[in-house]
Order: sequence, then structure tokens, then C-alpha cells
Amino acid sequence: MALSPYQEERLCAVSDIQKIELLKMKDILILIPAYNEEKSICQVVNGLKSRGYDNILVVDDGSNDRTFEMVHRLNVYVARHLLNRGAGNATATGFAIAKILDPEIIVTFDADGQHDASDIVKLIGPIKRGEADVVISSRMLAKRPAMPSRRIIYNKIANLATFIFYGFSVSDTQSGLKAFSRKAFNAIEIKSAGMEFCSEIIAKIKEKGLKFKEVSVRSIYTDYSMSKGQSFVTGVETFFRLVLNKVLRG
Amino acid sequence: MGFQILWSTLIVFAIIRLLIQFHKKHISLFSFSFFLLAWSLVLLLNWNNALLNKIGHILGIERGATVLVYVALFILFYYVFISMVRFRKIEQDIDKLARKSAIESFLKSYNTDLTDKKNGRFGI
Repeated sequence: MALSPYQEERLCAVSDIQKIELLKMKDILILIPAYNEEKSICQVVNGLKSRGYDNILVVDDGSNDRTFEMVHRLNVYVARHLLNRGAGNATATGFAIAKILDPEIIVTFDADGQHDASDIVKLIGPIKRGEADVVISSRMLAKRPAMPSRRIIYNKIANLATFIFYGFSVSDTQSGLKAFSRKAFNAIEIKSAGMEFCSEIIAKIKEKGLKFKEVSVRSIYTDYSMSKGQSFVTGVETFFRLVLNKVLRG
Repeated sequence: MGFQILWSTLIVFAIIRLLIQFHKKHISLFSFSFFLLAWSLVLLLNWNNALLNKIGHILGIERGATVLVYVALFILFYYVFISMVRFRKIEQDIDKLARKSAIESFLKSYNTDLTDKKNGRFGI
């Protein structure tokens, strides 16, 4: 039976697992910003651990549910915001802590279970080979993106806004799965509070002259991850925050 | 006349609020002076139609009363902008506090582990 391109991709990823040994997994820190993710966080963390990623930092962004307590039992690093300050701030806190831990690579990973842990090798490869300082996963590079149509529209608007405001064209600005070299995460200072931090990162890549690469991944869309993801309202909010950032910071 | 009285009442109310805010040291001397001057100007123009029409003529606005609306709108927009900037600053201060607290708690929790990098897992 012929394999689909996606299955072939998965097989490549499995064979890449062996390469992880060479990539020194101990030097990779997985950063998971989480807000009210008690339903998915254990599964996400355990999924990463089963792939051999033991250095995991969860930043609980002031969750009202039991996210913090649940992560605490999982033998991973956990930091907590006393108040909910947004995904951008949670990631910025993760970056600040990462600077203390000093890993070679940081991989940001969403807590809602929409990413496949086996895709991480695709992101860290280009950094290890010195081809990129930042690698962003893209759900849009596939010929037929397995993405709900309203997400595609939202994504294209976000990409256009990022291009207008920062003059940098990226196929999936809003992807949560990204990898940063030590040089990159030390150079990038996130100032945005909410989801607009994704566009800010793109701007900083350009501003700091970092080498950048996109790799194709597939996201896992479940009812849960759809309910947690960005909606039209957060999209509009993100757009206005981008405008505000541009007006106030330039 | 009714319109002028209504405007004046609103402006006087705004000035009283301004004085209270300044007295409580909630606004700076610069902001207080700016808004006091601006609202006083609107109050003056409200009762001086000749001056209002003259300014309107200079600005190319036919009706003097329209100038009044423009001035008030400018003040309000400026106020909204100032409030937005201030609100943003407060938000950023809260962000910094939240981050500082999270990092301090983190360091307190993992301090001993962080020094142990021998096992290659930053210590856990």
C-alpha cells in the first residue's frame, strides 16, 4: 500500500528520533505556556517525555483551574504567574527563566495538544546544523493544510498584518511550535502581552538579523484545541494590539 | 441659550472633576494645567459667540458653534490617548511584577537543583 506524503513524513520523523541522541536532548528545553489547561496538560507533557524530552518548563499563566497542581506532579519545571497576563507574557517569562537554565535550544509548544511531539526534531535540526537561529513550524506549507477554513482565514489575515506592520512575510505567523537557538532567545525580548507576540517575534527576527527557517508540520485539531485556540474576537484584538504596538513603539 | 447652559454645566462638572483629581494627586501638574486651560477656553468660547465666529472664520468653519464641538472633540481624543498610554504603562508594570514574582518563586523552588548540571537535565 502506497504511503501518503504525511505518512512518509511521519516515518522520516521516527527515523529522526535516533538522531536526537546526536542532538543532545539534554540541551533542549521545551517551553509550554499554559492557561487553564488541566484537561490536556498531563497528556501533552507525558507525550513529550515519551519522546525523550525531559527538560520541560511549564509557565502557568495564572490559571483558575488545577493546571499548576497537575504540572507540579509531573516532575518538570513549573513557574507560575499570580495573575493571567497573556500568552506573550507567559512566553516572555519562560524566555527569562530559560536564560537562567541556559539550554542550547528552546522549543515553544502549545499546551492544548495541537502539536505532535515527533515534529520537534524537524525544528531543532536546522538549528543544530547552523542553518537557522529560529525555526517556525508552519501549518500552511502543506499542499492541503489540515486546518479548519476559519483558521486559515484568520491566519492569512494575521500574516498580512505582520507583513504590513513589520515587512516580513511568513506563511504561519501564529504557530505556537517554534525553536530558538541560544543566540536567538538571548537576542529576542518579548514585550507583547497577548497573542500578538507571535508577530513581534517575526519582527525581532528581522530586526536582529537572525537566520530563519520554516518547516511544515501538521496540527492536531480536536474540539478541545479548537475551543482553546484563537477565535475571531481574539484575532481582532490581536490586530488592534499590533496597531497599538506600532503606534506606541514604532 | 439652552445649549450654552448645557455645555457650561458639563464643562464646569469636568473642571470640578479635574480639580478633585489634581487635589488627590492622581494627575500631574502638566495634565491639570492642559485640561484646565482647554476646558476654560471651551467655556469662554461657549459664551462669546463673536470670538467663536471669528475663530471659525479663520479656520474656514462656517458656524462658530462647530468650532466648539471640534475643540471639545480634540480634548476628548487627547484625553482618551493619554488614558490609553497610562493604562498601557500600568499593564506593563503588572506584567513586570508577575514575571518577577514567577522567576523569584521558580528560583526559590529549584535553587539547589539548578546548580546540579552533572546529570544533564539542568538538575531535575
